[in-house]
Amino acid sequence: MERNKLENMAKVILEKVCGTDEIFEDYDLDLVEEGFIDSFSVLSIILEIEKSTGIRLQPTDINKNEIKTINLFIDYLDTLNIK
Amino acid sequence: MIAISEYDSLYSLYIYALMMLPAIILSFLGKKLKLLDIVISIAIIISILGLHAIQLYEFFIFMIFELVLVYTYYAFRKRSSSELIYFMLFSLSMMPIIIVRLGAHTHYSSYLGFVGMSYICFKIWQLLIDIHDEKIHKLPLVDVFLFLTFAPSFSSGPISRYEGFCSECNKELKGSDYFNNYFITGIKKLVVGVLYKFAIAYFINTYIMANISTKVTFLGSIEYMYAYTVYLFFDFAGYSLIAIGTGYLMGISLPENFNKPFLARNMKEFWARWHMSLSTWFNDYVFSRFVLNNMRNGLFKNPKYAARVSYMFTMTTMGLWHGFNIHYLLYGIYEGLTLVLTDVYIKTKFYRKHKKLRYYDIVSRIICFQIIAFGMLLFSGYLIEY
Repeated sequence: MERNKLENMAKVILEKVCGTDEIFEDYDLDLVEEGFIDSFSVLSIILEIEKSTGIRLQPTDINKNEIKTINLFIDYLDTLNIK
Repeated sequence: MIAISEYDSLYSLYIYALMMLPAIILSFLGKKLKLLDIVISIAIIISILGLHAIQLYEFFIFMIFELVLVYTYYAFRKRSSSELIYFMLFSLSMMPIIIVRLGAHTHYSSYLGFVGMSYICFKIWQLLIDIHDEKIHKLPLVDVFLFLTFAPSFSSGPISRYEGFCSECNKELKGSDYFNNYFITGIKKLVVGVLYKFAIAYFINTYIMANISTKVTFLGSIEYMYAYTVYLFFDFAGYSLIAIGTGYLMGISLPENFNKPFLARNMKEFWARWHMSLSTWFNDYVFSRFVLNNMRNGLFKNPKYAARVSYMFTMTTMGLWHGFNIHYLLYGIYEGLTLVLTDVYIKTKFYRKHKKLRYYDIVSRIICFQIIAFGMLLFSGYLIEY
C-alpha cells in the first residue's frame, strides 16, 4: 500500500484510539510519553488494524515503543505488507 | 511465602560460583560453550534438588514430558492451525503443576513438585503460545533446554523470554566485552543483591519480624505489614539481583525484576516496577489476550469493561499461581480490585486536574505504599490461621 494511504489509515486508527485529533500537528510527537498511548491502547490498535485489514495480530507482535510516534506507526503499518 | 532456596545462604552462593568457574574462565578467553552451560546448570539443579531425592526424578520426568509436548506441537503447528489440538496440548502442559498444587493439600505434599517448577511452567507456556502465534521459527534442543534450565534463574526467575534468551546465549563475546559488559556488571549486581538479601532482609527478619507475635491482633498486623513489605522487597529484589548477577557472570543478561517499586504513584505503576518479569509475562500472555479475545467475540462492547474484567481475571490467576490457598486467592482478588479502582481513578477529572501539582507525587506515593503494603500482608498469609 502507498505511503499516503497508510498515513490515512494511521490517522483514522489513532484518532479513534486516542480520542482526539490534536496529535496530528506533530508526526514525531512521543504519544507514549504524552499519555495518548499506553499498553492498553495497543490492544485497541490491534483490533482496529484487524477491522480495516483483516490481519490478525497478537499483543506480543506490537510493542508500544515501536509505534510511539505517528511516523513510527506508519512505518509499522508498512511492514505488515497490507494489500 | 515464595520458596527462595537457590541462594539461601552465602555458602550455597559460594558453591555455585565455584561450579560456574569453568564457564567464567572460558568467557574471559572469549569462548562460550552452551553445552558447558547446560552441564553446569544440571549440576547446580542436582545440588539444589538433591542427587537421590525424588524431586530430581520428578524434574527429569517433567522435563521430558513437557519437551515432548512442545516439540509435538511445534511439528504439528507447521501443518495445521487447529485450535482444538492447541487447547488440548496446552491443558496437558498444565497438568503437572495443577497436580502439584492440589497435592500440596494432601499427605503427599512433601513428595510432589520441585523448586523452580512453577517458573519453568511460564517458559514452557510461552513457548507453546509463541509456536501457536508462529513467532518461533527455530527450536534447537540445546537452546530450548538451556532456556528452561539455566541455573541462575532456575528456582525463582527472573522469567526470561525465549527470543531474548537465545540471542544472548548465541551471542559471540570477545573476552574484553565480557569483562566490561558482563563480568563487572554481574559483580556489581551480586554485591548489591547480597547486601539486600543477606544484610537488610536478614536483619528485618531476625530482629523485627521474629519479635512480632503470630497471634493476630490489629496492632500486630500493622507491625507485621510494614516489616514484611520491606522485608519481601529486599529479600526478593536481592534474590533477583543475585540471580541476574550470576547470569551475567555466565555471559547471559537476564531481564530486570525490580525498579524502585515503592516509588509507584498508583497500582498500575507498581506492577510496572514490581516483579517485572512476572507482571510483563502476565500482561503479554494472559491480560492482553483475555481482553483482545473478549473484544473480538463481542462479549464486551466497551474496552473499558473488558480491561476491568481482565484485571480481575489476571490477578486472581496470578494469586492462585503461588498456590491454591485462601490467602493467595484473597491476595489475587485484592490486587485485581486495586487495579480496577486505579483504572477508574486515573480516568477521573480529579486525577487529571491534580496530577501535575507539586505535592501530588508525594501524597500519592504515600497512599499507594499503604495499598501495596496491605496486599503484601494478605500475601504473607499472616492474617489467615489454618
